[in-house]
Amino acid sequence: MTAHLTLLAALVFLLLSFDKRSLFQYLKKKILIINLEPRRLDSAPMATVCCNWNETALLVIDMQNDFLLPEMGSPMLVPGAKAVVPAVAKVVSLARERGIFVIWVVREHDPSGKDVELFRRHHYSNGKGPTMKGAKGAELVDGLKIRDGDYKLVKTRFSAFFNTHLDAVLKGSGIKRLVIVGVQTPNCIRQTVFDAVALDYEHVTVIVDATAAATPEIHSSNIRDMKNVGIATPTLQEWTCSGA
Amino acid sequence: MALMLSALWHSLPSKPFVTFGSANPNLRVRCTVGIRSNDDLSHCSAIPLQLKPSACDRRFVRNNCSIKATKASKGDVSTASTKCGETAMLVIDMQNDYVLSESPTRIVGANAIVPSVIEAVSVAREHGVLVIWVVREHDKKGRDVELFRRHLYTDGVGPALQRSKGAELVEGLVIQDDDYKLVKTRFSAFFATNLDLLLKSCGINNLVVVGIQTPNCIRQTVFDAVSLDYKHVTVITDATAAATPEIHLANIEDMKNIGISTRTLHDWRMTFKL
Repeated sequence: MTAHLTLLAALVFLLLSFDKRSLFQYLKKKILIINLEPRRLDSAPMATVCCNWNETALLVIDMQNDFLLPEMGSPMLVPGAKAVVPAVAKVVSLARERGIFVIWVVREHDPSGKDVELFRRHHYSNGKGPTMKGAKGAELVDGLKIRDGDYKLVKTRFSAFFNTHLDAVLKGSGIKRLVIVGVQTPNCIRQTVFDAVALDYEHVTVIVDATAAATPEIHSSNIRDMKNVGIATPTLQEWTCSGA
Repeated sequence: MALMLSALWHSLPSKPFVTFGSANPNLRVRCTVGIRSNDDLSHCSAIPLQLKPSACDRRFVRNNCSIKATKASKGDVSTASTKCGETAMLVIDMQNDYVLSESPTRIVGANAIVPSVIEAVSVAREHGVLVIWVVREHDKKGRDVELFRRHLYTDGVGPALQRSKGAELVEGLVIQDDDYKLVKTRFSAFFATNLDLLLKSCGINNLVVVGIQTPNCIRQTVFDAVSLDYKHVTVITDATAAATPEIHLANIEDMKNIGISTRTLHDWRMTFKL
């Protein structure tokens, strides 16, 4: 009994005399490396030590032909948005390298328009309308492809969380941090990230040059509002370097 | 007798709807007839009256209050005919902690709109519009506030705490018996609340929104309202406010772009007189 107490006292003395800060940082590094095993089943290389990518998901929102390509003749075209396609492709590529969960959020609507917002229903007649399920207009633009291990989520309103199971998918995968790219800033991007904040996602990031609106003024005023509720708004370059 | 009634019916001027009596004291048949006088009544439905007085009874009491259609453009869902009994006014976050100039969490433009909000509420009551007071009331530990604001809640102090003076409505705004109070803990009045259920069960199709602040609680509420297929959503531009006029106007523009009606108080009041 005395020997045990002596041993215990010695251990306590040792612990108290340790440089706890260094010990903690050492342990943190060790734990982080263990946690950075790639989630995906593909052959993506193991991520370098960084910030919680296994708890991060990338939402790629509405990068579909009808919203981006003028030649589709869609009333839902976001003028100029096609310019962000290369940046979005780059983010997706980087996300995959880092083992970030990639979720393709798309609109797919009924030809009668019965599942679209009221103020857009007049765009749907004679079996035609924007981003109809199965139509070319609803497909992802050239250069963006869903791969094994990614996830496709269909929505029918602005926010990717509205009436979808997105929150369940994310929470079930242990996701606490979101990165968002796509179109368009004042509607689907904004509603999604504000809902993400309301749902207590710990870190929400919008990559400012991989998102777009009809005009630069609309884009920047919405980015400002997002900053004001704690959303991070880096450029692609900044996000590439920080890995947040 | 039937012929006489039929002749009488067809000679009546068109009305938006007509109410008939019924042998059943708990039923009143309420029919929406079209503008053509030869419409039949096959689409009439019996709507049970509330057995106890409630805010929803307004629908049956003031059914002669219609706002006529104004010219509507294609896809514009904001200017078609609205009926007062199918409209609710949401007064959002007009609380001391967000409005009073001495409060550290005030919205800078908020104090200036208090008189307009008072007037808007008065007009709403005058015309049988259901008034819903939407307020934030938070736990003193901040457990029910957004993550990015939790640092504001320490030592039992923080904005809009339950039962605190800061959570009360500003002076001049008073909840009356027929009104409804709704507590929310996030930006949108629809987020994790019973608001949509309440409105649908009261037969509310149209919303008029006043209060603060434009880029957050106002915007999230009206965008959710559009997503939830409310037919007409109106924001009164001079009875809502943001930290700066630029932020306010930029958000109003975005709301217009998704079919929300954005009117001044004066213009909104005038819609009752058309």
